Order: sequence, then structure tokens, then C-alpha cells
Amino acid sequence: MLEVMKRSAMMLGSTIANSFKLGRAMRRPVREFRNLLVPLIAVGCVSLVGCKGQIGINADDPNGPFADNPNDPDNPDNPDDPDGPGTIETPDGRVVEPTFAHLRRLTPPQFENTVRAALGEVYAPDDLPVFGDDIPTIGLNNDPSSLRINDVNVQSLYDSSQALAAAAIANNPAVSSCVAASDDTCFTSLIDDIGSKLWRRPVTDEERDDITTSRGRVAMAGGTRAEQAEFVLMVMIASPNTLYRKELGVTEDGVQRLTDFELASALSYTLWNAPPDQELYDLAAAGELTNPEVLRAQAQRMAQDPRIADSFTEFFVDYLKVEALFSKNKLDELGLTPAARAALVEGIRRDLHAMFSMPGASLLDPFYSTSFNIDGESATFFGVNVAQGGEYEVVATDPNERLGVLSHPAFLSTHAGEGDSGIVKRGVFTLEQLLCVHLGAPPADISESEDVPPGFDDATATSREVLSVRHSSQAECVGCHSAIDPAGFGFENWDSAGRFRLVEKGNVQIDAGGTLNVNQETLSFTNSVDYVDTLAGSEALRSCLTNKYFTYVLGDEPRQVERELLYTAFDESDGALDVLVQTIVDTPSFTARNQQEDQ
Amino acid sequence: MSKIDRRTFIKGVAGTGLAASLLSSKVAMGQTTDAPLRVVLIPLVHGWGRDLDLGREFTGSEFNFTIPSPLTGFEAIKDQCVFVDGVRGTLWGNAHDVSYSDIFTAATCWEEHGSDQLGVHFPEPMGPSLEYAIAQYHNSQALRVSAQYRSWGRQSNPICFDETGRVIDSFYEAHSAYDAVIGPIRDAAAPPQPGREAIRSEFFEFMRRDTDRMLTEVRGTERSKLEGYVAAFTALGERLNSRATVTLTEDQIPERPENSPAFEQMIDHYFDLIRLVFQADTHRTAVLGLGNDLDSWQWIDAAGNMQTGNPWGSDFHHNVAHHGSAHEDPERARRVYDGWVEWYVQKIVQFTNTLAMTPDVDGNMLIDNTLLVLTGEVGTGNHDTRNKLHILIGGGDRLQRGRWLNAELVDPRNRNGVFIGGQDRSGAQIESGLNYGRGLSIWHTADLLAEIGRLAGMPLPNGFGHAANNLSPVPLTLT
Repeated sequence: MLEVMKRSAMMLGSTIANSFKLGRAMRRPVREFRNLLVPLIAVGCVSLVGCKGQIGINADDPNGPFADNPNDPDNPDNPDDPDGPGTIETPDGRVVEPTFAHLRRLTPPQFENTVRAALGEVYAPDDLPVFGDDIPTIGLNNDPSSLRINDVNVQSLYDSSQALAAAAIANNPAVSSCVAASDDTCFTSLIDDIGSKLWRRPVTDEERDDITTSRGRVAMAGGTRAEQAEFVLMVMIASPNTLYRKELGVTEDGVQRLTDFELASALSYTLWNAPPDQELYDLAAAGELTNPEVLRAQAQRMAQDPRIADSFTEFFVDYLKVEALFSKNKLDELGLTPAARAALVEGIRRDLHAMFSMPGASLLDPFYSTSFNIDGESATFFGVNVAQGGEYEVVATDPNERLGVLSHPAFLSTHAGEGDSGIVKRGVFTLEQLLCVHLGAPPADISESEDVPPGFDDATATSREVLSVRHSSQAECVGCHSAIDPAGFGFENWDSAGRFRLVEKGNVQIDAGGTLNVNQETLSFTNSVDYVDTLAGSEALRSCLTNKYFTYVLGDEPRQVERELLYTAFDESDGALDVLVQTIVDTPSFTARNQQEDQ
Repeated sequence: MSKIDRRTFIKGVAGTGLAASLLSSKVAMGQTTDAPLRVVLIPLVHGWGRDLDLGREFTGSEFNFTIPSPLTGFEAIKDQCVFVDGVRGTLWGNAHDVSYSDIFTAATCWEEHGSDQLGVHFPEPMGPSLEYAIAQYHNSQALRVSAQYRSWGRQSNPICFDETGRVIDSFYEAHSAYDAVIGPIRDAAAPPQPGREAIRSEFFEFMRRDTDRMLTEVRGTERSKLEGYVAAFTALGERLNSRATVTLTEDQIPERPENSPAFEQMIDHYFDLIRLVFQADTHRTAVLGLGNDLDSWQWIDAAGNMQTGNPWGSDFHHNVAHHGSAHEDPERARRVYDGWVEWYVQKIVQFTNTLAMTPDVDGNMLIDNTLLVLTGEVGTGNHDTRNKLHILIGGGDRLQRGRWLNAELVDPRNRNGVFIGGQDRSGAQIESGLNYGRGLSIWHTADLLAEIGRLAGMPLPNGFGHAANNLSPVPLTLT
């Protein structure tokens, strides 16, 4: 089994590496658009003119319209605003108002990694809590405002803390030996050792005393030593100190400077999706992480660790929303069974992890691969043959049919309709999530056009034509749909399950070509592969991607100066992960935040 | 927000701390042989399907009336029903989205289309939802479950809120809801386990102190996350540390639902759980959201043949629910939609009959002490929220049943003193400038929610929800 996995990994490495060479050669030169860069970044989130009513700078955007409008007096990047948040200066002398400080609940992978670091490999997967977080249609799952402990998941968290404690009592040597001992001092050691790992900082005297006193009451009530240990572990696992990353800082010169332990936590969860390792923890304890050079050196060290691939994989899975596939309604005849969905999502995860594990990996790599991890369950959606069974194979697909992650059936079926290709769904996702063009809410009442040409027959027209004639051509719709529809037309060579196709409805020839205007860029394409290639080469997608990654890391959108820093570094390094990481760690918002006061 | 007695509202985090220990705020359950009025709020996606555009109206008089299609299934329990025909929702924007947070609060602000808490599409109300208010007033619990009643990537639509406007999520899996309610019911007959009980009690006390410590370091908007955290643990502690005083036999306790049951089974599980918690007297209110994932309902086509499911195969919302004149085949869509509503009507009738056969602690049947409130975020599949039909079922002699309350309508341009609009976050009233095209009910949802709250024992002298929604000149009277 191990040998098979190794062989598989080697194949994956070489095949995908070759695929990347091809992909990178295909990349469009970005710097030729350099003259467009500044205005694009200045706008940050692109607005479309002509989409009546809601489109454009979006009043509904929870991130606030100010971030889109540098001239707005409420824009936090406007240092002339005397009532605005605190500012700090970049090394090149520019003034920045850092992003807001957030209390951030751990994501499920982060929680598991934290528990593993504290207790060891002592538990079964079913022992972990089910957080049941929403997967927003657009946006990021790790948005600090949407990751919550609520009435629904609190029971699971409670049950999990009990199960994890029981697992530790059974399988963690330090815990089980304490249960077997007769001296209570070992409970104090457990609190300090395990608590500091779970909470990413030392346990205070007050906290230790509180747990110890409470444990004593459990003992007085007749609790066994095992039950006392269970109590100690349960309260530490379910504690808000475990569940929340408290990167709120302390007030200094008008901003919130992150403490050493907060910096260690921010760095390790950003780069590894895991709590600090011993080296990082020790530096925090010694008060050295607030030294920018030490922080930078740690970022460089951690960026070389294989775990960097874990966190970038999680980011991309979130960014593309492919796990939403598990809850999508799909027609039975598409064959997207639970097993097929799981295979597709696992396949894309393997693809991403392999790419991000390569030396010199780039955030752009996923857009250019023509080889994919495919198993017996997922092969039909790629139109390829593989050996049946549970093993994944890395299969080189026809470059005229697939290019990169935007051509992956997991992505395409997630954003399609129940049985149709979902031109509007794919178009909206592309604009909002991939290109950062904010659309508003649809109008209240949408009805079909009554102005259909005589003889128009849905059965012999393409889905594209049906959409245009019956819906998009209406006066109240044309503004938004002139942008949404082309963004969806480009995917028409892939059906609702992501299968490649040239015709639909039997023999109706598909036209997946078109032109999409995004700010100052005109993206023209002739078919779907050309479309995803064009998208990946566009500045709109690249600047949006960097914004999304920053937002994923910090829970807030970058300010204008930070956008510029980030995009410049991204552009000059061709999206290199290590450069991107270093740049984010260097941004003012990584080490200092602003307090968001109640209204 | 209306001035209701808030003595039991849990606001006690940080500055005030939890006023009392978690244990001292134990739920008072079954401590009297007087059964309370319990309330179940049941929103059905798209509402209950009555559509004035298609001429399907109630006819007759208040106590002698005919129920129109597709609601005729309610004839079987007509003497248990009050048809409130209708009340207007708060009206602006995309009717579905803005309504979710308004249907049980009547407290969303005019023209707010989103919120920091809930994101785009979902405004945040300024007051609690009715089931929360009733449960808190009586120091009791609410069970909230969702059968795929969801949109925009959320696991369940945000329809329940506490007094601070923080969303209270619904269970969206039957087995999770079961796990959350079954402990105290099963523990009622179990022998005491001192060690386990000590862990439980100390655990929740410690969590409160631990959170309070953290709160001293957290300022601004971020505090609400910890407040939500401690509120969730508080509610869990109350559940787990309480012991049901009504002992049920094994055959009265349903089996744990399997993971991922079929949609119809999920709904059956939820009805069974609501029956269970009312019978055990552990909960005072419940909310059951009904979504549109049903795929096996039957309907009669134009030729009189029985058909099954969505003939368009997908996109129930646009292909079936939007059965207006712009549809490519509106008559067929209406038939399909009617069949879909009829399926839910039958489910409600079955549930009503179950409650009518289940004894309550006071010797009556559960239906005599339970009020089902059927509504939706919109009034019909065509998004009409101008006069949404509400159906009240049960409640015993607390209200006059077997009744059709036909709302007076006002001309949308000449409103005869009826205030149509809303209020903003500062409390300023904003008159709506919208031309609604057709008569508007003089009653707002707030009027109905207030009446139900009063039936459930709350005083509510100023109504429920925003003041601007409580300006009806003619009181809606259910008694």
C-alpha cells in the first residue's frame, strides 16, 4: 500500500511538473499590462457601468463600500480623516490604516491540527466536532463573521470535547499515567502542558487555579480520577481560548499591535493551518517575534515546510467553493452520486496539494495544469478511462478539452444548475468571486420576456440563445446580464456535471466564445479552454486572487496600499507562494490592526 | 422593539456577567398540571400558495366559509383553524431575502438589504423573533429545526433572533436535533450518576467564567462572537442540567433518526420531535422551516391524470413556484405547485391529528395547548407579500377557531390613515413611496405576532416588533 502511494506520488510529481512547464509557457505576459495596473488596483473591486440599480460599488457589501472608493472621506485609507482608525507607516513612507482586528474561530482543519498538536494522534475522526458552517455561495468560508459557535454546533462541540478527553485518557501516556497515579500534582502539569498547546500561550495562574479548584469539586462530588482528568481536558478543549484565534493586539500609538503569541498564532495558522511549533512558541515566549527580522525569518522557515501546501490547498478549496458540491441538488441522471462527488473533491484536493508542494510553486499553477487526479468514480466526468478501484491516477487530459482548475468537473458542477450548465450561476460566480466584480441583489420580481420572436423553439436553440431571448434581453435585465452572461457563456463547453461537450440537446452546436469587458480589460475567447486560459491571464483575476488570499489570511480586505504591495510582488514573482507569504507578513495589517467599535 | 418583560433575557456577559449561575436558571418544566400554550411557527418556502391573481379566494362569511384550492385539505380540521386572510409583510426589495429576518420579528429596518452578521441579502432585525420572546418570557426552551429551508449557501435561513438581533440557528439535521433534546428526556428515568453530573455542572460554570475572562480583553464588535458563544453554552447547559419531570415510556420516545434521511422522512422526524418535546414538557415553542426539496408529490394534469414531481426536472423556484402569467406554461405550473402545497397541507393535517391523540400534562390533548402558525417569507409562489395568508391551528379555547378573518384592504395610493412603510435604525418612521399595485392588508405581521404572543401569556401592551409596524387602526382579535 505504501509502495503504491509512493509510486503514485512520484508519478504525480513528474506528470504534473511537466504539465506545469507547459502551463507556465502558456501564461500570458502580465507586465505588458503594467500601465493598467495602478488604476485597476486603485479600484480594487471592479465596478460595471450600465448594470442598473444594484451593480457597481455595492452598498450591500458587508465589507463596506469605502474600500472600493479611495476618494470617499470614510475610506480608511484616507489619512486626512481625523476620526478614522489609527495608521502606521510602511518602510517606504506610505501611510496605511491597518485592517480590523478579528476574533476568529478555528476552521475545522485548524481545530483538528490544534487538538492533534496538544493530545497527539489519540482520537478517531468521529471524535471531532461537526461545526456545520455555512458555505456562502460567494465569499470565503473562513470569514470571521460566519464561523461561530451557535445553538446548533455547541452540542457537537461538547460531545467532541468529551470524546477527545476519553481518547486522551485511553491513549495519551501523560494523561493515562496521571489517571493511574495518586498524586494530584500531575493534573497541574497536564493543565500547563496541554493547555499551552491548545491555547497557543501559557495558562495563567488564575486559569490554572480555576481549573484545579473546579476539578476538586468534581472529586468531592464523587468523580473518579478518570472523570477528573476528563473534566480538565474537556474545559480546555471547549474553551474559547482554544476555539478562537485572539489576534486583537494591545493598543500602541493608536493601533492594536499583535502580541508575540498572537503573532505566532497568526503566522502558524496562516502558513500551516496549525498551531505554532515549539520553535515559534519559544520565540514568542522570549518576546522576539515582535522583532520584524525574527518574524520574517520565521516566515521564510515555515514557507519551506511541506505543510505550506496544506494551507494553500484549503485556501483554493474555499476560494473555488468546490465543497459546496456536496450539498448541491443535481439530477440523478448526471451520475453525481455521493461517492462521485467525494471522488471529484478529493481529486481536486490532491491536484492542488501536489502543485503547492512543488519547489517554486505559484498561486497561478492550478489554472494551467492539464493533468488531474482521477479515480474510477470520477473518470466518467473527465471522459477518460482509468483502472477501477480506489486508487487515483494522474491522467493527462486532452488540452483542447481541459485546462486547469476552472475546467475541473468538481468546480464546474458546483457552479452549474441542477440539470443545466447554469450560465448565470457560473457567470455570477466568475464575476463576483474570480474577478471581484460586485453585483447587487437581483430585482424583486423577475419574469420571462413576452417578446419572444415568432417560431423561436427552445428545443433547437442553445441554452445561451434561450437565456438571451427569454430573459436577458428585457430592459430591467440587460444591464447586469450584459456582463453576467458572457462570463457564463465561456463555460458552455462543459455541461452540468463538467463533462466536455461540443453540442447540447442532441445536436445543437454550442458557441462558447465571446467577449467579456472587465474594467479596462477586454477578454475575448473562442471556446471554453480559451476562456479559462484568458481568465487566468487577466489582471482582473490575478489582482482579485491576491485580494482573496489576503482576505483569507487576515479576515478582512487589504487596504489600497497593501493591494499595491501585494499585487506588485505577485506580478514580479509570477505568483510565487514564498514571495506572496513574505509580502503578506510584511504588510502593516499583519502585525497591527484597528479596533472596530460598536456602532 | 416593544417593551416586553425581559427579566429572563440572557444578556449577562461581560459587564453584567451572567446574572445568575447557569444552574440557578434551570428550566421550570412540568411543575404544574396547568399546561401552557405552546407555539409552533411553520414557515413554508413561498408561503401557503393562495394566489389572488388566479382567483382562488375564500368565500362566505367569518364562520361559514369555503376553503379554496390548494388548501382544501384543511377541511378535515377546519374546526381547529383560523385563516387570517391576510397580513402584509414588510415590503421592499427581493421579497424572499428581506422577509426571512422579518417574518417572526417584524423588526427589520426599512431598506436594509444585508448586515455584517448575516452578509448580503439578510438584514439583521432590531428585536427578537416571537418563539424566542415567548420562551424567554416563560424561562423555557425553543426547538428550532429546518427541513432544507435555506438559500444563498446558508444551512438554514436566518429567521430566529435573540433580543440583540443575533441569529439563532436552526438544526438542519434530524439526528442533531434529536441529540439536542433527548438527554433530559431519557435521563428522567435514569439513576443518578454523581461523577457525571458533577462534570456537567462544573463544566458549564467554568465555561462561563472562562468566557468572562476573555471578554475583559475583547472590545468593540468582536464581543458579540463571545456573547454568542456563551449564549450557546448557556442554552446547552440548561438543557443538559435539566431533568424532565414528565416521564415518558420507551414507546413514546422515537428512535434516533438516521443520518441523511429522505426529505419526507426528515419532516416526519421533525414533527415527531416537536410532539416529543411538548409531550415531555421540556420546550415551550418550536420553529419548523419547510423547504422545497420534496421530489415525490403528486398533482393532476389538465387531462385529469396523476403525475409525480417537478416535470421540468429542476429549479423548482423558477419552474414551479413562479407560476404566474409570464411562465411558459402557467396552467401546468399552477397545477404542479398546487399539488406541492397540498402535500404539505396533508402533512400538517396529519400532525394536527397526532397532537389531537396525544395526552398532555393537564389531561387534555396536545392540540388543545398547541398553536401551529403557518406562514412563509412570501405569500405565494409569485412573491406576493401584500396580504399573506396565515393559518392558525389548535390552541383550544384560547381563541375562536373554525374561522376566516378576512382583512380589510386599503388602496395603496389612498391609505385612509393606515401607515404603510417601516422605520430605520434610529426609529424614524419612513412612509413607503412604492406603488404596490393592489390593495394592502390593514394588518401587519406585527399585529398577528403580538396577538399570538398575548395568547401565549405575554402582555405586549405596545405590540410586537418595530413601533412603525404596530400602527394598525383596527386591532386584529383572535379571541
